[in-house]
Amino acid sequence: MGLVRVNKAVGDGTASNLTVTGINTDDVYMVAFSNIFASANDDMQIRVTTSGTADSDSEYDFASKDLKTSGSFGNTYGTNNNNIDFSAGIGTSGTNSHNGILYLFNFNNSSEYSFITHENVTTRDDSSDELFGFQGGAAHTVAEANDGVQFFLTGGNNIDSGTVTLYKVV
Amino acid sequence: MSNLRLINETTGTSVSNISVTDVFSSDYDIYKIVISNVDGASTSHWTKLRLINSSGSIVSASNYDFAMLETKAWDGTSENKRTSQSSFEYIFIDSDSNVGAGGVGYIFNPTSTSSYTFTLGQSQAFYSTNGGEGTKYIGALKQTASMSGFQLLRTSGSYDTITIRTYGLRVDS
Repeated sequence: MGLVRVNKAVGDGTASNLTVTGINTDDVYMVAFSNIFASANDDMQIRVTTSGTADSDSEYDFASKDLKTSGSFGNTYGTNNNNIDFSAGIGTSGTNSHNGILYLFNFNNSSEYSFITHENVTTRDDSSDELFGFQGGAAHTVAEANDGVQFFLTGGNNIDSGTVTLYKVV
Repeated sequence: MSNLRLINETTGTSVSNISVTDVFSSDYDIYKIVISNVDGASTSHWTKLRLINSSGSIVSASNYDFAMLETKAWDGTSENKRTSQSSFEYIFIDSDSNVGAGGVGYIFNPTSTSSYTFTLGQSQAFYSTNGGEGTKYIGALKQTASMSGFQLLRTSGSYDTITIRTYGLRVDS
């Protein structure tokens, strides 16, 4: 397997989202992200983009197994949501940062849905410092072409650090 | 040129542990670890992972947190979680001779002195006579120190064979 870098976005404290676009073939794409943390404790979600703009329609179905070190593992899921939930809280330093891998399928196909598998790991926001990660998948249930993904903080805080890189799998 | 760069390939024969040294650097933030060609010399045993610091010493302090979903063909799933351990436990369980096992994992931010070192991954093997057994795991080494490599350690006995390939993910074109 090889990877060809398509695009990257770097958190610098000036925005509450990181967007990577450039999907324009029917190949599988991969997104790798590391050391994402925020200006204040917050939750992170993702959306697909169409022509560079994040889709906020209520067309996201998702489910994940939530691995953690306290209590029983959980399940995060939903249908017809307006984003994909894939964080249980990130913090304000590298010790509470968000890291993970996504695979993107069918994004360039305008006659099929777009699909995502994801796995991630963090130690939750500064107060708990609990190891936590989602392993799951999602579908954007619209038959349209999507060209990327957007990571965003639901509380509107800025992303102070982190790199999101989009690769084509070749 | 691929942005997935092979940094190192290490093989072991008749060893109880195997160290992959001097593979982490400032050139990469994310590393892909591919474990293959695994055969245990005896009944199935778990493999642990420990980081190696920038001085070349194996980190055995009780700073490893770990959570793993164990997937068992004969018994569904079970949860394993540990805090303040001396290694990432339960990376994979190997198989009896001539059966094999494999896994893929990632390590994040190992050289950062302001971040923990994180890991996640999956594996699949065959546990003795019971059946297929896999893992899906996450972990954090709660130290803000620079790491240079890692060690895989069988909890008992040795590997007949094991191969570890370490790749770096370049973020620049």
